[in-house]
This record gives sequence, structure tokens and C-alpha cells, in this order.
Amino acid sequence: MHALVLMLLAADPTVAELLAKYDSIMGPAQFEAEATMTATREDGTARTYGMKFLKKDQDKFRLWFSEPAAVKGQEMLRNGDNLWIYIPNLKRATRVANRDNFQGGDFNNADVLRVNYQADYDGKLIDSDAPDAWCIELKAKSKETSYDSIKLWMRKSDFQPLKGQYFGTSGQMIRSATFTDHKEFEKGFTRPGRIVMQNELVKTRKSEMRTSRMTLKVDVPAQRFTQADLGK
Amino acid sequence: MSRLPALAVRNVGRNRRRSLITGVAIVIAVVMVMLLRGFVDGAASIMVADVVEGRSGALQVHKKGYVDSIESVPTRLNMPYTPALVAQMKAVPNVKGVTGRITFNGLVSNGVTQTMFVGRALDLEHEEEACPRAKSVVRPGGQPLTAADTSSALIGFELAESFGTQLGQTVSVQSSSPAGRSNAIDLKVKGFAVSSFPFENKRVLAVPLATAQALIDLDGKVTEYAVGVHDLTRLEETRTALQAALGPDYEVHTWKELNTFVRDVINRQNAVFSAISAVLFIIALTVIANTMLMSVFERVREIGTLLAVGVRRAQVLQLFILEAAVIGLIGGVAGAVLGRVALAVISTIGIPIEMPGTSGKALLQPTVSVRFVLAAVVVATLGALLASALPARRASRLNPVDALRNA
Repeated sequence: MHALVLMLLAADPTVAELLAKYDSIMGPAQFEAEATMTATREDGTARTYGMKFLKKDQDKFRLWFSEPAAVKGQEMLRNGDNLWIYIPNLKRATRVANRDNFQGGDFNNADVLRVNYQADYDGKLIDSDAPDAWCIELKAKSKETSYDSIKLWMRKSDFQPLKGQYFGTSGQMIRSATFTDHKEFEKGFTRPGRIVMQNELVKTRKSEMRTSRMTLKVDVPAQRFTQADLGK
Repeated sequence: MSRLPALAVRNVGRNRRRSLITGVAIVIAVVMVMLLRGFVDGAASIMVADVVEGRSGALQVHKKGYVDSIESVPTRLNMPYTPALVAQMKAVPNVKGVTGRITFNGLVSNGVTQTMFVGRALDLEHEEEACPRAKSVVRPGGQPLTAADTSSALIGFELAESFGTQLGQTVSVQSSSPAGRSNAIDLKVKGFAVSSFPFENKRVLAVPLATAQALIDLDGKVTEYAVGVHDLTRLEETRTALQAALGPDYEVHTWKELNTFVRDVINRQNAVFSAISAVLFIIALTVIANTMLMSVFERVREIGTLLAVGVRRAQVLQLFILEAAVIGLIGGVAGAVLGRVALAVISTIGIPIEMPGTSGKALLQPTVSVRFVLAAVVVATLGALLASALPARRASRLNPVDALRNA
């Protein structure tokens, strides 16, 4: 027991290490995944969206929606700072912004299609209110990030994210997230299977992202991340 | 020749009944056209004043390209709000006042439900310089915004109803910076705004300028300048001068371009007015032509006598045309005087009306310009002249022998 405590103390990670860990868990360099998002609106109705993800390199994302029927065939693409949504009926891709809501839920597009806290935020370890978790305070490096600051709790034992709080420039909490159902999707790769994003301004609104499958071993052709590939 | 005008005037007096019928037709037409014009212009000026003095200002300045994508509320197209730039605009002749504003989008929530709004951020200390009637009308119980109180908002009363909020309640207002940073602040609902523009009631949330600048990270910036002018008739030249003073990075638009709805309503009213005036004009002409023709038939012997004593056919023609012109002039002037008196009476009483798309109850004060009155007199005279051409020609073509024999 004593030895374990010593070992943990010795292994006190730096903020940079924690952020690198977060990025590698929430947004590995490349992966393929399937997920569903259930968005609960203020009138109590809920809608579930099915989707498939593909990611490569730092900022290349593809996303295909499979349900409900209304959004089936819609696709999204991120390449660097550019984000498009492809609407099959229009046969056209429209640019969307990071700050726009992801399918009208409580995640924004950047939450889902950009995970790069190392690049976007400066971190600082702060006193944690949970004994088994590190708490980091992230402050935006630029004005382009979707949040001004983030408070993040990561489990000490395996660096899995547990909780997040997201703040606007005014310091008001806009969203909060809980990360649960941590699961080893692939040997050596564990991440939360369920993220609940609570809208802190409209308490009746929340969105839940469940990952059903995720694999890092994919071979992704580069052309998947071009506009020409949308709708194919 | 020189005796003809005097003779024409005497003839008008002699054929009293015919002259009266023709004259009354002209008087009625002139009075009606003037009243109509008065009402149309009065209504238009209410609308224009409402828009120009109460909402948009006479001119607006935006960053180049703003108005083209105005639907998307492009806050990234912002401009510095500095005393230097304001002074530069005020230095342009005819510019009365300048105020800065921000229009932005966002979500307002009461913690349970949220709804979209269009935000208007106003520089309350300078708003009246550009828009003297811009003061929001607040429902009883509420308070107007003040520049000092940056944590309050006015909500359009229908917007407030749609998501259920109470006076004095705190609401969360969410928006994002041009760069995409989400932000939220708590604001107290200071009052429910009532506007004549349905859109303002349903969608608009108004805040002091500083509040919006903090919320969407636009410190020291605005997205819109509203410019008031002294003389609205010199709008185009002021716009050109202002554009020249500001350079190609900015665009200047007039209230007409920005409020196409009001412009269209006014244009439509003018079209209707023109149609009705044309009909009145034609009716008056027909009456004049008819009475003149009757008068020619009645005065066949007189014409015969004139011709028999050596009056030229051309002089007879001129005589009848002159008589018509005299009646037209007298009728026109009488109509103008009567019309002015009627308008003055109606104007001092005022007609309370409810205009579509403008401030609920307004006092319609019909007026017409002196130029329009003069034009009406001229048109009446020329019209009478024109209508008499055919009967006069007929009179001048009479055979004196047959005419004299006519019983």
C-alpha cells in the first residue's frame, strides 16, 4: 500500500502529459468508430442519431449519419479549420462553424469533430475536489476556440476523463459533461463509452453520445477527406 | 387679338350656368386630387418618420459586404467605434448625428427553455442623435435601458411570451464571438418592448452596447452606424459625400434600401394614387369637353354674328379655348384654395390611424407641397384648354349664313 502511494506520487504527471493523454484517449491519431447521439430537447422529446466516424491525422474527420431517416445520407467533413456538412437532397456541401450545434443537440461541432486540447488550450493543475482524480484548468490559447476555459477531471489510476465543465468568456458555465462506461474497445485502448453533455443554461436539454464500436487499426485513404468525396 | 382675353372673361360671366358646371367639375377634381395626395403623403411621411427617426436612421454605414449577407448577421464584418471615425462622419454636410450599434444572434433561456433572438445593442447615449424617436416603448411596469446598467435587457413582448419570462427575472443570453467563441451572460429582464414592427416584438432582445461588446468579444467595435440627417431631401448627395469620406472599406445605404418593405408600401400607394388621379383627370376633361360642346351649340347664332362682322375663324377658335382656360384657371385656383383649407382643417384635427408595419397609432396629418398645388392649377388649366380644343374647332368651322339662320 505504502509503496503504491509512493509510486503514484513519484508518477505525478505534468499538465502536458495529462493533456496528451486526454487527446490520445478522446481523439486518437486515427480511428474508425460507430456511435449514437440522443439529444433531449427542452420539450422532453428526444431524438437519436446514428453515425459512423473516421479520423486521420490531426484534423481530418469524416462522419456519416445513418439514422433517423431525416438525416440519413448527411455527411460531415473536417479538414484543418474547415468544416462542411453535406445534405444529400441538395447534393451540396455547406460550410458550418465549430460553434454550431451538432445536429441541434448540446455538443457543438468542435466537441465532436475536433479533439486537440494540446493545441487549443494552456493547462494548469488545480486542487481536485475528488481524491481519485486530477483536475486541470484549461485556458484558451486563441480566440478561435469554442470555449474560453474548461475544467477537466481525469482519473488518477488510468487517466480516463470523468467530468468536464465548459465556460464562456464571462466565466459562466455553458455546458458540463460526464464521461462514464469506460470500456476497452480494443486491446490496449480504453475510453469512455458514454458522454452526457448537459446544457447548463437550459437544464432540460442534454445530449448523450454512446460509442458502440471503435478501432484504431484502420487504413484510411487520404481522398476520404476531400470535398469531392462527399456524397459518394 | 388683344381684346380676345377680355371678351373670353366676359363670355365666361355671361354663360353663367355652363361656366358653373365646368368650373365645379374642375374644383371637385382638384380638391379630390389634393386630398388624396395629402392622405397618401401624410401616411407615407408617418411611415418614413417611423423608420428614419425611430429605427434605421436616414443612412447606415456598414463594413463592405455586410448588407449583402445581412440575413446571416455577419458580426465578423465589424468596424471600429472610435470618436475619430464618428467625427469624420459628422463632418460630412447635412449629417446630424451618428450612433453605433451591434446586431447579433443568440439564444435566450430561462433555465428551462430557450429560444433564438436577434440582438440589438444600442449606444444609448448617442442613439437619439441619429434616431430621435428610437426610444423603446416599454410595457407598464418595465423600465427603459440605460447605458450604465449593462446587466439588463429589454425583450420584445411576444418573444418574452414565447418562452415564458417575467419582469425582473434573470435570463441567460448566449451568443458567440465572430471567431466562434461561445459565451453566455445573465441579464435581468428590465422590460417588455412594444414595437409597431411585428418582427421587433417577436424576435428582438435589446441590450446596451457594452453588454453585447462583452458578450461577443467586440470591444470597441460595432457592426452598424446609424446616421441622422438634417434634410431628408438631400439624402443622396449626403450618402455620396459620406461614402467618399469613409472610403471603399465601408458601405453606405439609405433607409429606402434597408427598409424595402416601407419603400414598397410607399411606391404601391403612389401607384394607386396616380391611377386614381388619372381617372379623375379624364372624368373632369370629359365634363369640360361636354359642357363646352353644349355651349357651342347654344351659341351658334352668336358665333354666326361674330363671323359675319368679320371676326376671323382663328379668333373664334382662340376665344373658345381662352374661355376654357379661364374657367380652368378659376376652377383650379378655387379648388386649390378650397383643398388647402380642407387639408388645413383636417390636419389640425388629425386623423388617428393604424398603419400596417409602423407605430401602432399615429396622427395622420395630410399635407401637400406648394409645388403640388401649383402643378394642380396648371394641369387643370391645361386640361380645360385641351378639352375645349375640339368644341372650339367646331365653333370656328361654322358657316356664318347657316349659323345666323339657326333658330
